[in-house]
Amino acid sequence: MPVKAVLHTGLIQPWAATLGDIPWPLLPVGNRPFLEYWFEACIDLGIKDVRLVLGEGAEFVEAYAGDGEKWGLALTYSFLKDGQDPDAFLRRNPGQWAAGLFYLRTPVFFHRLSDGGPQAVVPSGVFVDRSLDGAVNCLLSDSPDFLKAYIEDPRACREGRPFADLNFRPSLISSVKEYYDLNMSVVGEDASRYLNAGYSLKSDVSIGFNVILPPSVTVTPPVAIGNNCRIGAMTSVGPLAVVGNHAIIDRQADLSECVILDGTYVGRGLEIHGKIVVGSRLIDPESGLVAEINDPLLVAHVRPMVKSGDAIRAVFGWVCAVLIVILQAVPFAVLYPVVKLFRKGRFRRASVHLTGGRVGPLLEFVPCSGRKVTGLGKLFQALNLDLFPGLCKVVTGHLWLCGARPISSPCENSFRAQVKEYFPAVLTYDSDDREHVEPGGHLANTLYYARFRSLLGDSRMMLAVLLNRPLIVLSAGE
Amino acid sequence: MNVQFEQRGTVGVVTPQEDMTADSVDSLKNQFVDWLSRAGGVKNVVVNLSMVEFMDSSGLGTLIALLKRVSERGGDLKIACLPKKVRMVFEITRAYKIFEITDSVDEAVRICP
Repeated sequence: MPVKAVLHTGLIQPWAATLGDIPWPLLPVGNRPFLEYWFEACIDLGIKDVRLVLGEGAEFVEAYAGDGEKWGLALTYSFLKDGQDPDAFLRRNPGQWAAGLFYLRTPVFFHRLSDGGPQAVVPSGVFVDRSLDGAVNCLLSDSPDFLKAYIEDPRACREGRPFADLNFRPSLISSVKEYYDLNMSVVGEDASRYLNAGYSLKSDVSIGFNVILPPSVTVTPPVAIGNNCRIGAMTSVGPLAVVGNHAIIDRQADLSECVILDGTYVGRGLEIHGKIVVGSRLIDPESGLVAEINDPLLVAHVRPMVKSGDAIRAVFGWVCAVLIVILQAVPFAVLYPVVKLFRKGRFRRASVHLTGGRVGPLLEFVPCSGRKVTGLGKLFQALNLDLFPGLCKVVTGHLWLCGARPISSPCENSFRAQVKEYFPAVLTYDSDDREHVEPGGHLANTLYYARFRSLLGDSRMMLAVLLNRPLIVLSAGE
Repeated sequence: MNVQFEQRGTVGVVTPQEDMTADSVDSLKNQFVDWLSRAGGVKNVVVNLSMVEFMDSSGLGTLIALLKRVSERGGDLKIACLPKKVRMVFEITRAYKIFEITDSVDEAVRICP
């Protein structure tokens, strides 16, 4: 049985939240995502069997890493539920790790102490790195006794050898300043060890593909520029500048000792020195000061390209919603006063996260206090008239027709923080049986929809919900 | 926009009470021009930004316009009490190269020629 690696990417890191919507495993370090350095550490240690434990930004991490073939790894995935202890994953099936385990629990960067190739065999022994409070950041062990002890009580396990014996120096990233310093170190003194070559003849300059770089741009090494960037004329880039993917640097700007994250626009003539810029947010890593610059002439988010599929889904959903609203208007106007009069149900105002980052009210059909929805109320639901207020929200552009269940505000804000691509909708995977969704099911449904959404899927969902729901509502409680 | 004007000898102290953005700077500019025409003997101006939490490019443009107007009268315009977030805007736009910035209004008044 081969030694396995378990890489935890799911724990929410407060420092990374300051840096915008990019999940921390995908934050750039030099010209590559942080996660890729973990894969390299696995390769260096001769480990090919890697389990990624996902949580925050799961869909993006999975989309990036795929099956690991790109790195010669065999990647498999597990999911960390919100608030779950990362070590709990190891306890699920301790027998899996009998042959040995390389466990990365927190965002630790593996600095190589010297250049060298991958190990032919996985090193033998117990290697542990702890933070100051004694918590284990990462470990490598082929000792079943040690692993058993660790899994039983992570804090009580014995010490191991330092990773320096394996030519590594793990350093924990726990603040924006440490993230900034790591970038400066990787692009600066360690550039030859970590940076991908890129498209540049200059030493210590890495430029990604599809980068527009006019001849008047001054590039002073070391510099790392990602893919699909546009650098304006007479701009000065470097020394020690990290520019992520899809960035636009306007003319005559001056970038040095800075990190420009993905999808950021830097305005004309600006001087960015000693700062991190992410969209419209300017961060001073030294002081931790964060300034939101609400001025698109200075720094801003590059407008995300609307996926053509989403645009088609939006039009399709809107047209369908209008038709359904027209069909339902008269029955709703007739039946709802009767339902309310006989106390068979009522609409309750809930505060939810809507489209476009807005929070607003949504009317939910609920039983009157102390009663069940029966008779007329069931008929009202079976005709899908309880969806009428939500459908009106689709017509006004506050909701999608098909997508994920709207997330309540503020009680589910932490849930919302885990969902990067959010399509709050009236018709969802669980809208025909909302009461019987397992814990964590809403999150799974939301992430699944974001990952696999399509026009065909929406059509199927709409038909399934509108046709099946009446049967389920009428048969419930019989 | 609510702006306070104060005269200390030949120095005028201007204190905007709100953020300086595209929505508010026209009002600041008009009030400043009006006050400058009425105030006798004001040569130099200190803009106290202690109450300004955010400034965008329009705000900076207005400060430059005020500087130009004061310079035309043979005076100078200084900035005092720059909050940290506004200081970051000054840094990235290189506005610190245009204006003399002091930590207090008193210091700015003292160094006015």
